[in-house]
Amino acid sequence: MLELRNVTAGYTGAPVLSDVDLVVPDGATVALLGPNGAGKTTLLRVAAGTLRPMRGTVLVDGTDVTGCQPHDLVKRGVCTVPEGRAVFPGLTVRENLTLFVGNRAAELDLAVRAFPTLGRRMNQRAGSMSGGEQQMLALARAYLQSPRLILLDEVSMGLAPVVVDEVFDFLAALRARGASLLLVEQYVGRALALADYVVLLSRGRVGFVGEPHELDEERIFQSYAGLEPVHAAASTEGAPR
Amino acid sequence: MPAVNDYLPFVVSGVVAGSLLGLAAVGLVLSFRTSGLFNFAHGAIAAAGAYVFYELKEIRGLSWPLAALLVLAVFAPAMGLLLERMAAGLHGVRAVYRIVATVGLLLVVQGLAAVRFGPATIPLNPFLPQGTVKIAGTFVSYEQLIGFGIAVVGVLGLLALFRFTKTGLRMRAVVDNPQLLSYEGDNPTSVRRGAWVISSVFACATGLLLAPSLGLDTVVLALLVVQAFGAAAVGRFGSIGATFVGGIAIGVASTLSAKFIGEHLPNSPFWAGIPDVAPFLVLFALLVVTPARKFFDVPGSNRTATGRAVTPRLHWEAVLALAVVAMLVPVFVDTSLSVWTTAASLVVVFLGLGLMVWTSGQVSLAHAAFAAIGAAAMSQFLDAGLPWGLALAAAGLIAVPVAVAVALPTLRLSGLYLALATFAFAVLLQQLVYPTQAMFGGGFRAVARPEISLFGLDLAGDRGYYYLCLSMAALAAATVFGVQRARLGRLLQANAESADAVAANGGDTTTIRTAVFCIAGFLASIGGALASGVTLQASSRGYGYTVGLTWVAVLALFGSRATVIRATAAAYALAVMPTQIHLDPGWYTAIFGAAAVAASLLSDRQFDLTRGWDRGRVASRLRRREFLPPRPVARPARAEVRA
Amino acid sequence: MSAPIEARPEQRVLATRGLTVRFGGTRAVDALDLEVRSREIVGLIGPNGAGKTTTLNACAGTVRPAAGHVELLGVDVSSWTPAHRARHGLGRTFQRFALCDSLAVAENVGLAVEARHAGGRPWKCFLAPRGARTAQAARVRDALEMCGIADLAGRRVGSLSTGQRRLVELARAACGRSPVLLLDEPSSGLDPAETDAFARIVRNIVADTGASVLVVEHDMTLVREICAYLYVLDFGVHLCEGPTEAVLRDDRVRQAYLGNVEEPAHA
Repeated sequence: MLELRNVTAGYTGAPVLSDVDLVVPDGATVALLGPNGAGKTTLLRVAAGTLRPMRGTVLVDGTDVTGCQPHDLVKRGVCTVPEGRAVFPGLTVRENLTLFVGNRAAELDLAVRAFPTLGRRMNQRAGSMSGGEQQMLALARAYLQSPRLILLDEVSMGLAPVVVDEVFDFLAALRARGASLLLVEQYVGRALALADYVVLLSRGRVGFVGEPHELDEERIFQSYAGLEPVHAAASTEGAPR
Repeated sequence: MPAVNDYLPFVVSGVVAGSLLGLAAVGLVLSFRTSGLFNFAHGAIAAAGAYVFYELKEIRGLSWPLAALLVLAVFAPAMGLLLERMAAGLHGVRAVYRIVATVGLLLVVQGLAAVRFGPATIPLNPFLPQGTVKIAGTFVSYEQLIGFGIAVVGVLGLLALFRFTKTGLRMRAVVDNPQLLSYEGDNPTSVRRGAWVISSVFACATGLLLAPSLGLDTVVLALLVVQAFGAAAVGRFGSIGATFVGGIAIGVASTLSAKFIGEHLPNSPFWAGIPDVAPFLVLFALLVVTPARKFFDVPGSNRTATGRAVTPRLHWEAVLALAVVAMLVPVFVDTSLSVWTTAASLVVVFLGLGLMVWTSGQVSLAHAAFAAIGAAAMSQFLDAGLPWGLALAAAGLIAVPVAVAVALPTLRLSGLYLALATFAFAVLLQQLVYPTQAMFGGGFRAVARPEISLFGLDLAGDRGYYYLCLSMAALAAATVFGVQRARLGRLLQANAESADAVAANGGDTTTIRTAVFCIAGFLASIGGALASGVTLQASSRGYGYTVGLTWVAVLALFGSRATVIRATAAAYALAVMPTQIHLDPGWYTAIFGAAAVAASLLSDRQFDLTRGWDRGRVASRLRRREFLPPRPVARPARAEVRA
Repeated sequence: MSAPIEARPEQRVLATRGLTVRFGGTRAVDALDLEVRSREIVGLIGPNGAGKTTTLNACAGTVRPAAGHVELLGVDVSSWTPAHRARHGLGRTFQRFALCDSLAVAENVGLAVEARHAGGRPWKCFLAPRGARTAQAARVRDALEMCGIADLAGRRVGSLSTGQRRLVELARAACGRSPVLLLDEPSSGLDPAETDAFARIVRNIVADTGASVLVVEHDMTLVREICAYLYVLDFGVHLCEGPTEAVLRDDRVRQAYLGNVEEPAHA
């Protein structure tokens, strides 16, 4: 579905990603993990078309889309849920959804059924909703566009654990519909539970690619230098080192 | 008891003029909201449309419908597309340069028009049907009706677009979160293009409809439509409906007050100026009074640093070389020494302006007004018998309370609205106060030089006065440098990058910025006083609002640091170059304007995510400066923790 | 790990009474009574949208409450500007950082001392006497050492990682020697090792300077590590308060907020 070949990318000056190869097979869920600064968000931006790589190619369904703008990629079935709350804060919920899918009543009904909270707030300004509700609205887009590939950047950031539960349930539902997912997550445990494959990024290079069960704690320790494999665990879990 | 019928014609003409003003204002607000760039040159676009119409109709002989069509269907959209490109090019650029760019564009249009059509006002023959019809007891011309009709249709059409079409929704969305719009599958650029084209067409339509009654005069036309800013302020630069209604209200207030003042206060130059500047009064009053959060702000703009914090370093060799050259000037230059003296006094002005603009991130478009105050005050104090030195100091000090009065209510506004407020202040001062006895009184005042001999040099003579101005400039440079290195400088720098940080640590940003405004105003005033001594007279000519705009544009040409050398370079470029290379002054205005636009487009910026790395790389190669990217860092040093 | 359960200190340093904040029609915070006592680290937790950051902003002065009072060190500061409150003894960090990227770490931290002067007497904002500069440098050094970033003193803030920037902000707040500190989601963007280190530094700061802290957080590990007392907000309303462990075990809180507790993931 998505393939990155020899991608080197950065902003200005030294590249943040060097020679990265990544494949997201059709219908698979790939978790992208790594410590802060490893280049996860940069990689997602390259895949989304927001950032043009310095070198390398990006392929969607075998077609070279390097340098395509994000709105071109949408036509190819790529949906990006960027960091932060991906909504239009000045518009109402209804207007946000209309932008996502047009005014078709059937689609809007679908959205309301899937997200009852949104249904209650159709005429409320998206910017005045809570962070969790905004994230739900952002994800509604991923649901409604029926994309084939969904890129998610830390969708659980700043959300309360019970909302994170809902989010991951929703991601599982998306996966069940056959979409491929590439997600960057700070909740390592949850990401591992959901993913078919794991890619570990470290300092802009791919450190490990494999299935979650192949990833042992030692490996993660090495990469994160002291990270507990489970985030926000109960206090009985041993302290790092 | 004044009969209603007496006032009705004024109300009608006020409504018509106001509706056109409102149309232009709506266009301005539209482009501002969709692309985040406030177009100071909006009025100039309108004027340009009128000039092109004149060129086509009167000079090339086309019929008026064809000429009008070409202007509205070809010229206006082309300008709109050009502006969209410029706005796109300014994405990620610092707030200061965003202001400088459109100010530069304004200067380009004004300059080119002056070159092509000369500085005098050109009468434009009315082209719309001139018959009148009687409505409600008063005569209304077809021209007025058509104008009003076009304005109403335009605005209603736009409102309908916003409310009922997806294009309108997209225009609102692109303001909110342009990157997200891209993720929706819509190209934000095409949405913005549409908005700029509409904005341009509205502006040109206004220009065409107003030109017959006002004549073709870049300054008047640009100013008049710039008065649309006042209407835009009523809509808080965000609401289209309120903007249009505000325009009409201002138009009516203008004409009614003109009648009232004409009848009851016929002899006062101050009051006579009020009707013309009513929109500016409204603008200034609204900017001062409205709670800041109610103004539309470009999303994220208040989190963008307005400046960069750089500790100034003294480059001894360069400064010394500069000083030596400056001291030797009178040896080589004889007859045109006065030009160099003017340049020296301009250095004082630019030092203050540079401090304010670069270190504090505030753009003052009213600096010429402060210089005017200094010149007029100098003359007044000398007339009153004060010795020269005291008169100069007093002239400088008198600008301080004025600066405080302008600064305090407006500093809470973000950079753009501060610039607007200073612009309104400059125009107000020029129209209302320059002609009064307190300042120039419609003529000019005499200014004397000090009758002192120092070190064998007669300070009243050309050479002596040159060295006097030079030493004042050196003194000012030392002061500004000292301020930058001192606590105030550090606070200014920090405030420019993160006002939140300063406030959260106890720093009152209003105090800091008012202090800088006062210093800048003081120096501008002194500079103006010194400059008036060159020609031995002070008059309102030379301190018009365009001068203030040109100063900012030229300052921006010399980089974004507030250094002595750059201020000097700017001053000399402005004062000396035009006398060395002889061109029509219009060309110089246009050149400075174009250069300012270029400087803004090339200025370094926050990394532009939507364009990838290419742009950043080119820019960094041009500047040989390292942008520091979010590098992958080695694991951070582990915190040393005590047991 | 977590603070021993003991009685709350007597002296109140920060308090809100009946604090109500409205955004448009919604009540972000509804009649909240909250107290931070001397040398205490108080946590403010709650589901998203609960009004935690709004409460913090109301305490700091960047948000105007519709009703209620904020009391700082015994003085009603409800109508004071943020700068005024900062001068009175309130320090804070920002969730999205308020740092000067172009300046060095030491200069950013030094702002805590310098900025204070611009707002006291106006003339004080112009010059710093020589003695003051050395004293300031010493304070900055101390704050940097307390936060373990003394070796970063000359680095440009713009080149630092998120974890390091959190520490710079904390150092700045500590340098100001404010008796009351407000921390806004300080672990956001930090990995667990960094969070751990952060917790230790906060505890040290409290121990060394006697500051009191109100921290808004989502990360339960951090909350458990440093907070002695918790307030739980849900939809702007005070749900529950008490010593940390008791609150985290409270059924109402679990239901409204914690939901399914994370299990260690073994794929």
